[in-house]
Amino acid sequence: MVQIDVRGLSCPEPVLRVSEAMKANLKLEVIADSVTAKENICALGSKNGFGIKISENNGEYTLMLEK
Amino acid sequence: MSNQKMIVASGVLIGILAVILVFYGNPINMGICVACFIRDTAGALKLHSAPVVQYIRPEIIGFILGAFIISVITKEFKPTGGSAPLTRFVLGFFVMIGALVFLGCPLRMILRLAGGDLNAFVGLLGFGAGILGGIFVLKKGFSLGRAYQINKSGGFIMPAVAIALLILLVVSPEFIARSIEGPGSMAAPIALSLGAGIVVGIFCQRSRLCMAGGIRDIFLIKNPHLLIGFLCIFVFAFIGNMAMGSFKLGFLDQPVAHTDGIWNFLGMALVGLGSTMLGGCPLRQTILAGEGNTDSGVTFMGLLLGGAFAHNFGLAASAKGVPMNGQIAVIIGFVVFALIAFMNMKSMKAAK
Repeated sequence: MVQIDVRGLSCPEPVLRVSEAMKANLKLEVIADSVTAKENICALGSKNGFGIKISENNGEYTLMLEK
Repeated sequence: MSNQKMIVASGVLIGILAVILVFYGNPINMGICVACFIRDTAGALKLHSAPVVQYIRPEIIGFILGAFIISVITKEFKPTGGSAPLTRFVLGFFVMIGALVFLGCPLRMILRLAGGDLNAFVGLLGFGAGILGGIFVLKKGFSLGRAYQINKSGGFIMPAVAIALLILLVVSPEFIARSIEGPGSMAAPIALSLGAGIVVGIFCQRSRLCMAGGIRDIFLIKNPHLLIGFLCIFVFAFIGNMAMGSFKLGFLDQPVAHTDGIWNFLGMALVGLGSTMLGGCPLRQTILAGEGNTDSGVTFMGLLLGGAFAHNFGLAASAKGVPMNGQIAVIIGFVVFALIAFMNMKSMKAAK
């Protein structure tokens, strides 16, 4: 499993980084701190056939993506 | 409301409100223009002295306050900062120069197209080319770095600026300028403009509507989500213009526009490139500024100063065309953007 921290990054960097990591990994843990990044990564994951589990803690989101 | 419905609703609302605002007094094909309205606000504050473009535009105040209010309600208000603020200021400055050489931000470009102004199609081609340039640098690892959560007070600054502007607009003290002729004198009633701005601010905060993002995401991640909003604005403004009888197809004699194709293209190319490097168009930056993003607040200040410079130093275009100073400023903008792009690529950082 690969971990990706996209906290504080401007659009579209979170999606770009996760998209790049999806090419080589079937299991990813992504940490995001904005609803926009969370939503965009969810959309990207769904489009690419990944199952997604989201947990929230104090405004930060952990997204577990698995194919 | 689902994300898909929200982006459609935002596009439909902007398209319709833009036509209504023109009907009630805003300049033709300029129901909403983020660049022009920030420039007008700069003029009202006497940061420039062009008498025809001076008015504190209530729409801008509304965008910031709408985004602020809804982000507080949805608990998305989050003061952040520290992602290369001065670099963003410079990007914002030259994005404004590009927009005022074209005569409109990306949103007005769509509204001009929906009004039949084919010069805006040339601008659209340039905007797309600039975004492709931005995608190229993003793929090379371009990043302005992370923003971090900051003290809450920082996030309140832009909403406070908006409220201060509203007070100055309503009280209208002698030191605030107001155009008596030209585009700056053409305005819908304050309550309507402010209300429309707040509604647009709320919907754009929820939908994350972004003119640059619409085209960027199609090429970069093959996601049409944001482009749908872009298209809805066009369709509904087009229908509104047809209904009002204000649609006029052609290149010549278009309102607040010129026919110099090269500079329409290059001006919007600069806007497209800068917006992609910033992570959003001027509208998106203004919305983000309202929800606590102080880096976008700094970008807004760059846009404001760009508007002031454009009219203080004869850079802005007019119906007559683009002055030489404006052409030189656009070229300088491309050079500055290229340097910023080069110096913020991953390979450069790794070498450090």
